Amino acid sequence: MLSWSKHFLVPKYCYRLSEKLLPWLTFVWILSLSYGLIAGLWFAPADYQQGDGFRIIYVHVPAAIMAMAVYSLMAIAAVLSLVFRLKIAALVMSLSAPIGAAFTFLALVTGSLWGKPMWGTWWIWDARLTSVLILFFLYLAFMALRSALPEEKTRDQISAWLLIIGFINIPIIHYSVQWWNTLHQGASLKWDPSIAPSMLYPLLAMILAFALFYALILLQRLQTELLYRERKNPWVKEVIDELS
Amino acid sequence: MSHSIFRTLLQHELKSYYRQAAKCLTPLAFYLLVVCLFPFALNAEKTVLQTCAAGIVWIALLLSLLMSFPRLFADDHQEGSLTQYCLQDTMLMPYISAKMLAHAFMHILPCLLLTPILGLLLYLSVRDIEILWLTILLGSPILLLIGSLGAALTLRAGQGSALLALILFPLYIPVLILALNCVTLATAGRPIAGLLAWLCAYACLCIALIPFAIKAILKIGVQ
Amino acid sequence: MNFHEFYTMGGYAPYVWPSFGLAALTFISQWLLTVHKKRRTLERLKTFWDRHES
Repeated sequence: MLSWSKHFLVPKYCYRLSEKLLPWLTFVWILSLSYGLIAGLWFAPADYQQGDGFRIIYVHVPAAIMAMAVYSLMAIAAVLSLVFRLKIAALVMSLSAPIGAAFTFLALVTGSLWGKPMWGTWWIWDARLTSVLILFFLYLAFMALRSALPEEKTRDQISAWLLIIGFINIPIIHYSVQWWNTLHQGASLKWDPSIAPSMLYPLLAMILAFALFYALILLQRLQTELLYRERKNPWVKEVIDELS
Repeated sequence: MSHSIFRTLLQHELKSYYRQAAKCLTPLAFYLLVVCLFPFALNAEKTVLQTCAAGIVWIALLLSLLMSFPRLFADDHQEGSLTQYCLQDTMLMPYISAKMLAHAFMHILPCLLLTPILGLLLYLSVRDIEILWLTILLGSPILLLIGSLGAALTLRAGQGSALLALILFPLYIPVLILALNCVTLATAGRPIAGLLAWLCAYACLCIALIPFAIKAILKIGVQ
Repeated sequence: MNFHEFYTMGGYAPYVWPSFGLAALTFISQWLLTVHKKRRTLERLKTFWDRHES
């Protein structure tokens, strides 16, 4: 157990592992991104209701899924960092926040761009849109709190608490917003669940591409941070010598 | 033992409010002022004010609470007594409870007493004022607990209410939705007992869980 | 699908292309920021170790 987990926990091994993973992840990322883009923008047939406008789905849905997934991952990392005092978990938590916020922002803007031709307005207080907006605020609150807390140790622990509280609140917020929304207006546009394979596969590829992009960015930021924190250790010198 | 500690701490807290009357009068004046701004902004139209009244009162209450939260634990932290409470595990929970109970007495209770007058200012009928009053009564423990949680989180940040607002408002949205829909439904003449029960359940959940989170966060904060 | 359809997106071009453009912008900016920071950190560590050895 220990020998296996050291690849994730000991900075040196963690760095080496991510070094080995990066080229492979980049390869699969380029592959899935190019397939998703070409098949989604060119080969997938136009939707019978929405015409070519539905193609926004290929950035909107992956961004929305990643917005949620990154926040969940950060919450898991927060629990690990609080319970087991894992340095790496605290790093994953803090380094994920800007990417997650960027994905959330992307989901909001593309949702708005999709809503204009389909619903006729840039914004409606639809349950999903509202939940994503609140998720964006949660990201902002996390980053603002971290930047305001002076000492590193308290910063990690207190922001981990905020993440956990926010994560517990997400279902409460989601259901209350959904309930509020159904009270105020009828059901808005619903996506047909029986989506054609020629539309579905590019979507899955794009979701994979977004997830891999997150992994790539996170691993590189983790490497940077590990190198900087461990700068006095001999293994960092080895790494620098290899690279130059 | 812990009962008498609690009583001493509560007396101490209440006395501190008594000594500086501004501490509880300023948020109350703020509450009144925010509500009084809306008739000017909305041109004092009776129908508009009536439909917005519950929302206005709730937002004003949120803002006035937000004004007082940054100092909730910060004063005790500055003078060092919070560190003492955190060092003794038996003291911390009575301290948190006393703090919040005193806050409820000295801040929320005056606001509750003022609410019927504000309702009249906004042309609400007596029945609507009753419902609004009830939602504030049930919702304010949630506001207080979540707000204290935010105060504990930002104890070391020292940035005042802007950061606190960013942290708290996403967490306040469910309460706002529940409470204001109670009012809307009651105005439409539909039953609201179910919604009030949800509000109660949410308040109980907060009362049961949040003090422990506050305790853990304060301990990290004063290290 | 031909090039004209691809370019105009069946009339939805003002909505589809900005979406993809913003996604591209997000990806590229995140990538550049990350790579830039990594490179700068490596340079700093190199000078740190050079000074350390001499």
